[in-house]
Amino acid sequence: MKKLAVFFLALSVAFVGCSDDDSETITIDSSQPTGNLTVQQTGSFVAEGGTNSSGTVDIGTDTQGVQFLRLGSDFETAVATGTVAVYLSTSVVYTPDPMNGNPDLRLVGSVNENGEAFFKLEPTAESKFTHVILWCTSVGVQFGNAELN
Amino acid sequence: MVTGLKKALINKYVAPILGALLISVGSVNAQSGWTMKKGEYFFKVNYTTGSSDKYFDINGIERTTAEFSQSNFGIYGEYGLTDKITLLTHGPSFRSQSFETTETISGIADLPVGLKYKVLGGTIPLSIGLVVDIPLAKADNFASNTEIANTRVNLPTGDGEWNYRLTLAASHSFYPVPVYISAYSTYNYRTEYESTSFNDQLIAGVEGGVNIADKVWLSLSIQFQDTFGDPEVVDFVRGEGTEFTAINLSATYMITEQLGANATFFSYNDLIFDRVNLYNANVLGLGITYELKK
Repeated sequence: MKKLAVFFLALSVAFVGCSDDDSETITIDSSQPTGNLTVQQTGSFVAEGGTNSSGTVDIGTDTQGVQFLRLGSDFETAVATGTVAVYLSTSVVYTPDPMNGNPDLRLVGSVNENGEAFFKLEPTAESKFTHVILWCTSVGVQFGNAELN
Repeated sequence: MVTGLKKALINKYVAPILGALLISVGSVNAQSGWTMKKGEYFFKVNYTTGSSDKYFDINGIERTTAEFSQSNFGIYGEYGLTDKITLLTHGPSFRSQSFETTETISGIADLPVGLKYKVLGGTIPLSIGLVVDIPLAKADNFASNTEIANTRVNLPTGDGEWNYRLTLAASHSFYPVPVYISAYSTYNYRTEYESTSFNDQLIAGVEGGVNIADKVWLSLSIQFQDTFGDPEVVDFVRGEGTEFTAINLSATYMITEQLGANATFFSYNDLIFDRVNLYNANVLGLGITYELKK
């Protein structure tokens, strides 16, 4: 009898554990914008390096005021070659200057797939950056650029 | 001695010219109009290596990149199945390659095998051959960047597709003068990899050789590759749209009547077709040849 009572008690606990709860866990992915992006600057990629780079790129802020760089759903580059880095640049040409901290470049992130992608810009992008550059880091070839307007 | 020299004339030019420091794959082979007799064979064990930081892109524009290095170790073989049909294999081959910024990727390359048929004998022998490139290699093989985390580049040791190479070749021996000449033309029917179709290619060349003192064979060849149509823009690792003119110098020292030591030098140029989609490396090769003649 005692064993039966313990069994029913355990069963009731299990039911309670499985019942719906009004509270809901919400996971916030800080790498993704919250709400819609208000676009501040936009550009279109021009292919370079014998690639098929194309598509749009935007810089804007989400509803929380956080700035993001967005590669559009139409974004394409030669990802089959490997990882492609995305840089903000002060010119149309990738101009490294590592001895001085690369003042003309800012690495935003990298892509291994075509299509939409977001990169959080924290701190926000400085106004000196006029272009977004696609750079194949391992090979050292520029795959494309987009002038920001 | 004369007989031996004549026999030697018949097969020295078939040694492969592997100068393919394309990041794409595709061995470049000299061809001849001669075929083996039944039971005869010839094989060569070969090592080639080269590197370059000069890349000619799909538009033929020369770019300076991270240095790319490639080495190949493989076998080339011919075996006379009958007096008219010769079995060919351009492998198996083992390839290692890297950029100066990445780890090294090593693996087996695609395996070209085929048959060559004796169409005509006589003073200008003519052969036709069909070689199939079996895509044994891993068609996507990513090398990690050694300087930047989570960054990689695709360095496959094969192009992931079946190729069908149809070759017509003619040769002429100036015997008793120890000199020969060969000319050939290959149509490379390319297929597709992961729904990307590749454009067919034409490869052609001429080769001349001379024997010195019954001991050393010297040969010089020039060849070119052209692409039919306008290739799609695809990732540059698969040799799509690759075009070039190239020369190959070869010297073989006959250690014995059957055994030879070979050295080659291969270099690209723009003489007939400009360089497109390749690394402009000079390729050095060392090999051992062995043949059995009946």
